[in-house]
Order: sequence, then C-alpha cells, then structure tokens
Amino acid sequence: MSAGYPDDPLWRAIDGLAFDHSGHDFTFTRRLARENGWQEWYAQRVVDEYKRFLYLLGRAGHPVTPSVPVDRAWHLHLAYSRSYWEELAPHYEKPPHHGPTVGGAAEGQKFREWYDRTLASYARIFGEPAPDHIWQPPGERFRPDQMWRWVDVSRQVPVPKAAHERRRLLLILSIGLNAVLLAAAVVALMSR
Amino acid sequence: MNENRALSDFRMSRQSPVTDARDFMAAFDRRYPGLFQAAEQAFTDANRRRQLIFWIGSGVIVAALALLWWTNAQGVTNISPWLIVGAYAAFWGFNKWRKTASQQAFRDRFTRAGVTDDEFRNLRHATSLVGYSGVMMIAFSEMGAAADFHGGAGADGGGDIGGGGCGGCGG
Repeated sequence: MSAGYPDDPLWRAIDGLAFDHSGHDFTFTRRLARENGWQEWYAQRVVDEYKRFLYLLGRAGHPVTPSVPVDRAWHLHLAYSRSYWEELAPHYEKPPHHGPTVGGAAEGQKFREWYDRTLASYARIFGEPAPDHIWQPPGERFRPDQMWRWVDVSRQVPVPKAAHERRRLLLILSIGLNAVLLAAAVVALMSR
Repeated sequence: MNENRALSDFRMSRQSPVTDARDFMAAFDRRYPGLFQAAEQAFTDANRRRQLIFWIGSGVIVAALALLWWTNAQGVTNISPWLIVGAYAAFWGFNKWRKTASQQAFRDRFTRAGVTDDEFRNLRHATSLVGYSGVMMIAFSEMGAAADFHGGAGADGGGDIGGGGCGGCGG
C-alpha cells in the first residue's frame, strides 16, 4: 500500500467522518443497506470504498466516476446535506459536486473513460486493485440494458429475472410431462 | 487491532452479538474481498440447479411408478414396480452425492483462498447471526456442522449489486 495517503489531511478528514452516530437507531449504514436490499456488513464495506472514492475525488487529478454501489452511498450522503456540505466539502479545494449524466452516447463514453481512469487511480493511490464485488468491471458497470427503479417492497416482490425464467421453465416441463403421461395412459388403454 | 487475529479469535459479546457478527463479516470481506459473496452466489446457483433436477426427476419417477402400477393393474404391462423404486433410490443417492460435493466445493473455495478452519467456523457462526439462513445453512452444513447454527437474526436479504445510476463529477 502506498505510504502517502494515510497521512494526507484530506484522507484523515474523510476517514474521520462520523457516518453512523452511536445514538441513532437508524444509521447511515443501516439506511444504505435497507434502501438497496444489502446485508449491513456489505453496506459497511461500501462505505469503506465510498471513503476511498471521496479521496480520489480530491486527489486523483482527473474527473472520477463511482461504481454503482459507491454511487448509492454518494447519493445517500448528499441527502445528509449537513454532513456532506459542512463537514466534508470544506476539505476540498473545489466543491465536490455530483454530476448526473445528461444522457446520450457521448456522455456514456465520457463516463466510461472516467471510470477506467478512476480504477487506474485507485490502484495507483491505494496500492491494490479496486475490489470488483464493489467496483464492478467496466463492462458490467456500463451494461446497456440496465433499468433501475425504486421499489416499495411492502407492495412489490422483486424476483431475480433468472429465477423467474427458471420457474417458467419448470412450469413448461411440468405441463409437458403431464401431457406425455396422459398420452401414455391413453395408448395403454387403447392397446388393451 | 490485528485483523488476522480478530478473524480467527472472533468472540461475540453478549450485549450485541448481531453487531459483532456484522463487523466480523465486514472485516472478513476486507481481508478476503468478494470471497464470501462469490462463494455464496456459486453455491446458491449450484443448489438451485441441483434442486430443480431433483424435483423434476422425482416427479418423472413417481409419475412413472403410478403409471406402471396402473398399467400393471390393467394387465397391459407386467413389470415389477420395484424396478422403479430402485431407480428412485439410485436417483436420491445421486442427488445426495451432488449435495455433498457442492458443500465440499464451497468449503474448498475458502481453503484455496487461505481461510483457516477457525476463520471458516467463525464465518459460519457470524453468517447465521446476521440473517442468512436456508441455502447458506445447507452450504455450511458440510461435515455435520449444522448444529453450530444459532438461527437467523432477521436482517435484510442478500446483497444484490448492479450497474447503472448516474455518472460522476469533475475532480
């Protein structure tokens, strides 16, 4: 691991941010886990990586793009506006704004390039590659057929598409099997 | 704190066992990034495939047994139903063997990554406390270890990551 960043005042400020106040029952990490359907341990790990992203934001020397889980943490942190703008932002030379894509192929290409550079800077600054269960490979990060929605799970049941397709296959197989058995029974009766 | 020691000597406090277990899981993931999640996904997929084949196969064999019984009763066939009962027993044994093999593959994945027996035992314990159950209980139950489970703690479901969202920002 590179020697520089742990002694950097920016890193110390980021690492010292209190995301989870001990007196709060519904903490930042717990909210992050709940809103995304994650285990809390995984949300903790995403917060670890979000801190590293915040450091890259100030020190990479180029525009940076987060992974999707890290972006979820970023969005949530922006909602904690006092923490973000009063406790974090003053440590940066420029305000750490968040810039959503405005759409279009050129924007997609731009963010893809930024993401590649972010991963490269991550490895250079932290001395290890970004863990790909939190920082997806670029092909997955920018998979074109993504469709995200915010879902109320008290009224909707999210089912993985693969599981849904397996159930459909099972139903078709069951119908086919019954048809074969019925045909066999008919043939057996007719051959008496 | 030495994280290696924390992983192998993990002890839960009586006051907040679930929090401790969650912290252990996060520490485990820091030391072995993505390992648990990848192993969980691989086992879950393999388990689903195995169960699908088992239930379809069982359905076919039971239906065939019923059909044979009926055609024998009608005098159309004269085949011993024990033939199909034997086939089902063999199929059941095959499924059991596949289940054991997938549990062993799950364990081997951790061994290859350098996870010690103590760390694995603690992971199994922590996993049960943070709310995993069902499939993960099957995964961890190799070598008769299922009795170590203490039941889930009602946490949220598994982590499902994806892409998308918005872009980035100027550095």
